Amino acid sequence: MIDAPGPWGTGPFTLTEGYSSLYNEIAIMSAEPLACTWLDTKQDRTDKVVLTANTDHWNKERGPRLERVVFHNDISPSKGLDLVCDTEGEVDIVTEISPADVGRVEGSEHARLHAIDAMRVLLGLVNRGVEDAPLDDARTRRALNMAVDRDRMVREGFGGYAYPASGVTPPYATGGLSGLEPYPHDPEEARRLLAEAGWPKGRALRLATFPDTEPIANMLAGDLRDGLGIGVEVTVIPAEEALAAQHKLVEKVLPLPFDVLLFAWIDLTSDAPAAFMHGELYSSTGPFRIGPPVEKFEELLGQFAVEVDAGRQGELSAEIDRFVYDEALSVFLVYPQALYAVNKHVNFVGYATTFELAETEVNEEHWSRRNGS
Amino acid sequence: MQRWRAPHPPGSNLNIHQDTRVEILDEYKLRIDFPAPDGLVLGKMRGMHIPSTRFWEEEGFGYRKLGRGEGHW
Repeated sequence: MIDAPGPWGTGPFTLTEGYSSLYNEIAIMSAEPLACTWLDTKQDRTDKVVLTANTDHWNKERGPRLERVVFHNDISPSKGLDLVCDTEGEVDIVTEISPADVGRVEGSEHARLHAIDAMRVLLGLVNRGVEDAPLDDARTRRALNMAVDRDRMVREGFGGYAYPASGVTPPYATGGLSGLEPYPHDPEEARRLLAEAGWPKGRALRLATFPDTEPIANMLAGDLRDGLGIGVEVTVIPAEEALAAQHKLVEKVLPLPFDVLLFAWIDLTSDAPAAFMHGELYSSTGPFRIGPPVEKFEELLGQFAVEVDAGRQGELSAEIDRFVYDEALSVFLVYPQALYAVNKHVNFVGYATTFELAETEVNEEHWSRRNGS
Repeated sequence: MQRWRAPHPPGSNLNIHQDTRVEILDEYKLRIDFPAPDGLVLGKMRGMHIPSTRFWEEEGFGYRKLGRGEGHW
């Protein structure tokens, strides 16, 4: 993010050693008016990045409550997990723990698991623009949703550390709650809807995924095969082709070689999810919209974007979520939790959005304070 | 208020109207004048970084290294 140490910054911490930079290239959807997004190409970081408490921070009640935070970019995730679980004094927090490693953390003498309800959603982006299959028909998209066994996906794919998705907005968001229930797992009704929509006989569904979600893609493919009685071809986009694939997805010039793309998305706030979640996924200027703009969605998002009353804006955000759910604009899968392994003497305060440490503190038993410092 | 075409990595959906103006009232207060209602501005400003003057003069989100700051966090 920042190319050189300062100290600078007006937040709870200031960068005092090392740097962490993002390199991007632009993906343009429209030149006039400009509609674009930035795609990461490289992350350049020093082995260590050190943040020091900004004791002049205006909000002292919030923090900072730590003198120094050291990010070790030279330690692999697996090594970090070893250190937080088996030692003290080396690593206090490891982010993005895989559900497969939860048992390791829970059995640790030194670490505790923190599962944070996060503004994250895993869904299938539906390519409504294909010409040889009725994916522009809401009945087909509802059929896809009703073929999914979300409870099993939560249990077997996420070790229980996720919630079945009922639209895009997680039920623990601060605003924009739609009160929806997940689509029922109803293969019989799914097959009926698919036949009614006229899915071509022998036409397999093309499901694409990035490498990190391949196991979930295979689980989803199994549900779709079993539930709909159709073939499903899974394509894993290799890491070295991910940037080109992202350009193709965002720029919307070339036809996309899939019907459904497994896609993980986030929000940066939690009070009006439609702004960053639904808007990015479905709007006319949304980088991840696949298929033509949806007139009703544009109308709702337009009202939402100029609404300055927070209550009314929340209602509109919920209405937008209900609309995309009713139209089944995606295959809504799960809301994954953010998992952290944390030293037991660290009072970690996790956020639903990003990784923050403003309120996090260590108790007197922490290795850094045992000598009375 | 927004000098770049698309400063935020998430893209132009986080842009603020080009005619938005800022008036500095005192050391701690400013007033932002929007030419049209923008209900999403608090979320947009969630992605707006407020570093020190020294930072802008010496680094500026990629100015020193790349000669530009667009999309470079």
